[in-house]
Amino acid sequence: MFKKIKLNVQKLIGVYLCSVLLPVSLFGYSSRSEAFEQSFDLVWNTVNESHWDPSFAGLDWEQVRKDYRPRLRKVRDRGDLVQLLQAMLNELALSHFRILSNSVDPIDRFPRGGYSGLSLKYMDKQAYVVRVAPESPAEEAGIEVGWKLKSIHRKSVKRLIAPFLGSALEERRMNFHIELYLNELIQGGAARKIRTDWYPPEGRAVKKYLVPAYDFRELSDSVGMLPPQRIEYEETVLKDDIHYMRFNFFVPDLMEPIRETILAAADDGRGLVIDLRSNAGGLAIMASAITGLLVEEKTTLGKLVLRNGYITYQGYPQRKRYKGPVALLIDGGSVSTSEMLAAGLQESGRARVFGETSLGESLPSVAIRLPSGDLFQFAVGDYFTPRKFRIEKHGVVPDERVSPDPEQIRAGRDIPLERAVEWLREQMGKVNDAA
Amino acid sequence: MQLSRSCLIVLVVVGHFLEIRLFAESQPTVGSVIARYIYLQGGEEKLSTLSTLKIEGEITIESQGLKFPVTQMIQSPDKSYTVQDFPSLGIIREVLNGEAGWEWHPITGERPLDPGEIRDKLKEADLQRDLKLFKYYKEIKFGQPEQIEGHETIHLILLDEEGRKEHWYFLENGDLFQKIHTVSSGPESEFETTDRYYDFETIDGFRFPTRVHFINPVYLAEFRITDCEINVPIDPEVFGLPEPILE
Repeated sequence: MFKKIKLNVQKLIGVYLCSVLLPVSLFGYSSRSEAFEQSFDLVWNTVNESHWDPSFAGLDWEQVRKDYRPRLRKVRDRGDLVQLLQAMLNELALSHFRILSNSVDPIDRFPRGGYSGLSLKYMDKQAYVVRVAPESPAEEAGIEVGWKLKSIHRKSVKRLIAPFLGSALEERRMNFHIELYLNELIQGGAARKIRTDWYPPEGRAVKKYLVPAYDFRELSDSVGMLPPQRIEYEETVLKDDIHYMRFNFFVPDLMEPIRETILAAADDGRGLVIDLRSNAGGLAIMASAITGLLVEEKTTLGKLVLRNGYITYQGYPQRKRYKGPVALLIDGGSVSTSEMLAAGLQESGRARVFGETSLGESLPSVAIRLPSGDLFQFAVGDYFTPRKFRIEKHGVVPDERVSPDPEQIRAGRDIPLERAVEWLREQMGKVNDAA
Repeated sequence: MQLSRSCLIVLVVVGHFLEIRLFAESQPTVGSVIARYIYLQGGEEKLSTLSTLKIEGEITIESQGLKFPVTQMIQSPDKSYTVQDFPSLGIIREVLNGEAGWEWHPITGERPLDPGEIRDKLKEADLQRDLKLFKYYKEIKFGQPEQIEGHETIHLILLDEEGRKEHWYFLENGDLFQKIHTVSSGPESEFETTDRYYDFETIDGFRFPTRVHFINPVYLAEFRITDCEINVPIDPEVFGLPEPILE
């Protein structure tokens, strides 16, 4: 009789699955304890029992344990432990296997962080300003879109990125990490003055002092072990009634504005741009939710293959939905859930994808708390698009590759967006011709 | 755990069920294991009177730091209504009404349940299902006995018409302790899960576990009943379905 409840609990499995690259921090470790050994065993056993491929793609996981467990003896503090566990997980050579310091807890972490309001794009071994948030310290300092970064605290970009250049990472992945690093550096610590030097498009280099504010961006609610994230949402209506939206995380707090933007496009829009560039992912069900507002029939986004079973991500058409053309923007910073959404809408023919190939880190994951107090994020399955394409390590390839050009960025232009808008206008023209 | 007052009174009255001895047979048959299981639940006659069930409870997913309330109403043989108040997301509702089912989700919106989900939910909604095991399963046989959490168990393998295999593990006293089966958890989604049953109590003459662990590839969820009502009227409106979105 009691078996009746079971499915309603199991149905929640989809709720937890996140595809997000959680930030790693190395602050706040205490002394060694027995918890280190328990944490090690929990991490190793979790992977051993839950990894979707019992053969570990040829990796001898038992041998990995034998190699790494003796090294626990040399672990002095939680920083050492995180490094040891992460090194062990790196043997899997897969995304979404991470040890996260407990300082991702907002109470612990975020007061340390600053916010300058700058977004940098890294390309051709240089970093350019692509966004300056309104009313931010960067805007007050007079820094503008298109400026090229010369140095931070008198350390040149070349010196800043030097440690990355010798790594074994493939170029796309290395560029992603450099961009993350530079963006983190430029946010600085709250109320700590940063000296920055820049090359504006015209004239001589300029010096600007930034005093990052405490990060005032809204914090999302945590969902399970998915910690709160600093969220950004931007929407506007471009010329010709083209609606545009950009957001940085797939978190429930943003579902309402996303829904409102799409439904506003359903009312009076003739085109819709979804900008997923530098989107770090989040709750996978949000990709299903967005799809449901765009499609006329049940649409499959992809399949998560577990060790014993599978979960399919679907979007179900909602009562009110947007039926016009959709252009989707991605780049090398688009990861996880943003890749699932891009690939699913692309393969179903519902959206045309512009930009650069995404990073290729798309494995749905969950996080658990370790006895050490840190979080362990681990992927629970492999992910395939409807056409059985594996995004992990490959990324989503856009329909139209449009890479930003440094000179055009310095001219304040956003070429991928311009091309997406141009395509939307072409679609409107076709509709008009047909009419 | 708080059970309703009426449930507690009945619990005292029917407590003698617990005194019944364990398997008398040295070599149980499949039929005797199932007969014992039905007997322990209250007996065939009692189970055949089961028409509705209202349960309130709480789900705890410790690994995710989550705890939230759940309410479920079942009207046998084919109607159910479930509502969960999920932290940070909101209310998730699900309705089965005969051959059709629907879900309302604060993030993904509304959708009809898929055939696999309806098939499984129909099985759940049949409160007399345990009396029809030989109808639901084309074959039931013994599997290898196993020790689970220190208990020796009797293992049955049940094969349904679609070839789906379930493993049921009974304690020596006849209670169903563990079940491994495949569930349709959402649209075109299936995975293996293990359910474990604890803290058996007798309520209104029906004996069942009041604490269950649901173990799937992602987490372990503990469900505890906080209140239950048996064979009480259920407002038919809760089983109402919306107009279809698509023709």
